[in-house]
Amino acid sequence: MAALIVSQVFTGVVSGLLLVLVALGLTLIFGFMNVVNFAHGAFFMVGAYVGLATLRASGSFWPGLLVVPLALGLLGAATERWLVRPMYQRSAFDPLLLTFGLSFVIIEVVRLIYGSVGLSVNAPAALNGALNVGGFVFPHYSLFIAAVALLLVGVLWLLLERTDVGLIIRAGTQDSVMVSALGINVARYRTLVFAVGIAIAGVAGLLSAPRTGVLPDMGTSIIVFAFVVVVIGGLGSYWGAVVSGVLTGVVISLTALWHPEASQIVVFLLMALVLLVRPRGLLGTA
Amino acid sequence: MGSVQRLAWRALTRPRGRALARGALLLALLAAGCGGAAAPSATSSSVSAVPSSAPATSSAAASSASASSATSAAATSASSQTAGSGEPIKIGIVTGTSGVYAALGQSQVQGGEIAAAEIGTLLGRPVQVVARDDKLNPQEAAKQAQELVTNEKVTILSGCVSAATTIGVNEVAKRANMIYLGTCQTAQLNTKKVGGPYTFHFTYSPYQQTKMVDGWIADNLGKKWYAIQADYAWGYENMEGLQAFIKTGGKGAELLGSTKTPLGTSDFSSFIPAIRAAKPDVVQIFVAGGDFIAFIRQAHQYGLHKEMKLWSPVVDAVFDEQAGYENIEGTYGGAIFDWQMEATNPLAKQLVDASVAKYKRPISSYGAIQYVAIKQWAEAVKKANSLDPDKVAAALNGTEFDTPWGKSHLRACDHQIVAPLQVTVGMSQQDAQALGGQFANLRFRKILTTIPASDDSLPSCQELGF
Repeated sequence: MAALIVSQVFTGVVSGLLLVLVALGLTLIFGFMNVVNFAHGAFFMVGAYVGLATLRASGSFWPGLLVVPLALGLLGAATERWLVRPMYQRSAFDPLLLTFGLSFVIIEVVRLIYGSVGLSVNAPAALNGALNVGGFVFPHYSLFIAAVALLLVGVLWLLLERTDVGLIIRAGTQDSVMVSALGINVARYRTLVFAVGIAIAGVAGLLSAPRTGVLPDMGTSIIVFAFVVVVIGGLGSYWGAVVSGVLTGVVISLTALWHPEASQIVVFLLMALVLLVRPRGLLGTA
Repeated sequence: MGSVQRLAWRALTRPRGRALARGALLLALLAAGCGGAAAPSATSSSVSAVPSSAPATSSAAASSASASSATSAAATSASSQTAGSGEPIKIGIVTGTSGVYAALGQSQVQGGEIAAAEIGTLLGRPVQVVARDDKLNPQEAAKQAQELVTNEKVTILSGCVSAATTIGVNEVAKRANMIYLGTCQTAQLNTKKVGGPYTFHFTYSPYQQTKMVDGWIADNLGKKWYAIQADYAWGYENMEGLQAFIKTGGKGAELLGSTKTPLGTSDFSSFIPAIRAAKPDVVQIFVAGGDFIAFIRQAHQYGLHKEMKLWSPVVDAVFDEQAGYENIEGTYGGAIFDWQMEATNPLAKQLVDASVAKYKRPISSYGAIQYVAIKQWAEAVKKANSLDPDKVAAALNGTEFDTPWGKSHLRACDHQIVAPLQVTVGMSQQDAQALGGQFANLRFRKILTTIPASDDSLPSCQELGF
């Protein structure tokens, strides 16, 4: 039983880290520009398809790790510059509706290009097989997902904490009017934050592809869970998203062990509980 | 949606920090959004609503029975009136061409098109297929079917890839006194309540298939089983079949454990450690389509295939292709048809050639089911020399016919097809290539044995209330 729980926690952490990557972008974008990006799941899916296209063009999985964040970063920047930016002067509801509609447009465009049928992306041959430690099985590919996700979480945090750009972003999250009053071009940083948020969602999509295959609808269910993660962690909180993402993954995984039917709903119960006891989320500031 | 929007407006335009209200509203909005977008999660919830539609069935059946004589007379006069005019006979296919079973739905439409092209004209009128996407949603399926009946004036309805949508389409067909040819796995169409005089089922019910093959599994793959089941009608029907097999002796087979997953699950990793820990000989995989592919990939990453046998009741070349040789190699599966049967069956050769000519690739199993259904219906129309549903149903029923998968018949009482079953194993890419041919890259499976068609694998007509 102990071995089983260890395995279960491990799979939960890995699934949770993928959620963290999606949730981080959401929470950064919300925190900095107060935009709820409903198209985030669609960008996650586009990341997987860009990975597929790169795989087909180059014959290898690895270039995707570079191409996907670059391509999605550009896509995110363009989206912010030409679609989201005109919405800032309006109510908070307009960008929400815009990104909501955008998600359908993106899904249908991908459907037009690649069809509704799911397509296959294989994990690189070097990552086939599993690490077997005393009866525990850790698939190499899952370990790889965990490593890439942790690396991204760490690098992004260092960028936010230790660089001038990060300082401005953190300041903007607290009070963007004050930041612009200090003579800083906030618009440029908004584009940057949006691009980075989309890029990491794209990487999450790429990492998911060899586990699940790629499908135009693949972002629709993960976005629901990513929103839950953001709400549990506290809107706009960096470590809140990380902690609650991993927590959510583990809770789903452990519930699946004892009561599989409840594994999808338990997350929503967890959210309800957190909101009742601590409305601002686990690590959110009031 | 109106009230949700108003609430969302109010909460989101408020100053920051109202996490509770915002969170709840985000989710409400998401739920509303997903319902419209036919997301996998929405599908599973609508699917679970199916049993509740059962009471409505009997009243619909009653009303259709009373209207039966009047409309069938109308249908007859319509057919004789237009027989010489060259007005096309339209075949409505409502199936899931998007979502987790998209590949099956699309190949069904291809099978229908090939059949229509081969039939050419019927009673002097050209035959035409009109296809609609049901998005795996029962309400959407019924809506599309009704639209085909009302606007397209189709003569029959057919198609389905989900046990949940087939009932809705069948209901529309029943109300319109129209023949419905079901082409996906469910036993519900065979019940007296749901099925009607014009309802025919052209592939196995899960129960029937389980009964056909579980003995072989116990003898050849092992007696300790674990089941992973999709949490909707088709998954439950498979489980019922398996449990019925075990209850009636079942060659000493036992079920060590089972788990349910929602339709549209893409992350199975949290279910796999429990399967490993149970140490079964065989995992019976009652999830299909995109879910099957996700499961088999993750099972492979965990090395499950090295520790136990994997059995899937419905395998199809379109999903084998998505999963890839490395993931399906050595996994077992059942199929009503595999294109490689062209080597031994001339009808299979004819179908595969037509498919290659038209779509540049061999037809899949689900495409073949749709093809056979429409071809057999056309044969019955010719035999009856009429489109009248009573006469066509009488001509379809009980007769034995030859198909690309061998001799089959529709049982008289419940109109269920009785067909042989192919037991297959996934090949390695090298073995497939070695067999050669233009489509060597699509030779995913080797047929190990064929379980003969037999009425014994079905519940008796008395048990079903006929």
